[in-house]
Amino acid sequence: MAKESPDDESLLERVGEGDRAAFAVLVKRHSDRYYRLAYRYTARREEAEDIVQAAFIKLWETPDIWNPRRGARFTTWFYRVVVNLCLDSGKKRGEAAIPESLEPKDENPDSESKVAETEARALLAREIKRLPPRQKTALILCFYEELRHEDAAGIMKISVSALRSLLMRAKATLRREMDRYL
Amino acid sequence: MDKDRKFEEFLSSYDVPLVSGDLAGRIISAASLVPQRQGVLRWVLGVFWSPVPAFCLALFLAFGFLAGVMNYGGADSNVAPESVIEQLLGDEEGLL
Repeated sequence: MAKESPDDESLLERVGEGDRAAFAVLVKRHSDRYYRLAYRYTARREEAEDIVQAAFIKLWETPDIWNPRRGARFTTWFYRVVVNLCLDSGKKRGEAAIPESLEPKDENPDSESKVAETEARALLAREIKRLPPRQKTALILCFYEELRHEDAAGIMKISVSALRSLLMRAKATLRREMDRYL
Repeated sequence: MDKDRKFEEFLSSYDVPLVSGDLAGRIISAASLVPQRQGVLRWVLGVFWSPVPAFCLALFLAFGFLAGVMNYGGADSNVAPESVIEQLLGDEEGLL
């Protein structure tokens, strides 16, 4: 019979006691998920990796920042940590950096449609990056991370109706920009 | 309606490239060089947060406070008046 792996909250308790093995389990379990979130925010691989690393190091240095008594699950709470770091990083850069293309460039595109598709995806990345921060956060958390609206609203500290409004506005903006490619 | 579906599909095509190498491994290595903060504070809280040590500490502080108050009051009420009487008697003797 397979041994059950401990849940995030009990691992965090052990991290609070300085248990590096528990920290390693948490990192291995969740780093990819938060990397995807950070990448969708920054559209830059290195920056996304740096953000995730900074978030986990912060958790290791001061595990007391996680307070289980607040009732939030670790994964939900850590979304907020990573989103805040993404926002800080965006402010520092002044959102000036040009996003990388979404996929590795096709060296030998075999048709015009493929080129158009690649261009459209690059444009999508750019347009998502250009969205106002709150709209972008709502879109990433709800659409890409598939969080429940209640959880996403909790992370953003807004009401569910405000979240839905942000989500609609984000999609409308993108739709306007992308219509000519669809 | 078809356009809506197409748009949603297109949004979903926002793929994320794989991480460069072992991101989790890099984070774990980086953390191994970083000490945890607030270790002393956590130890102090750990020791005194449980009920029995916290009660003993509170009792000790309460006794200390009471003893301080009583000693202060005693000094004023016992020593000072006697010394005043002695001083007065001394003055009387001098006059006589």
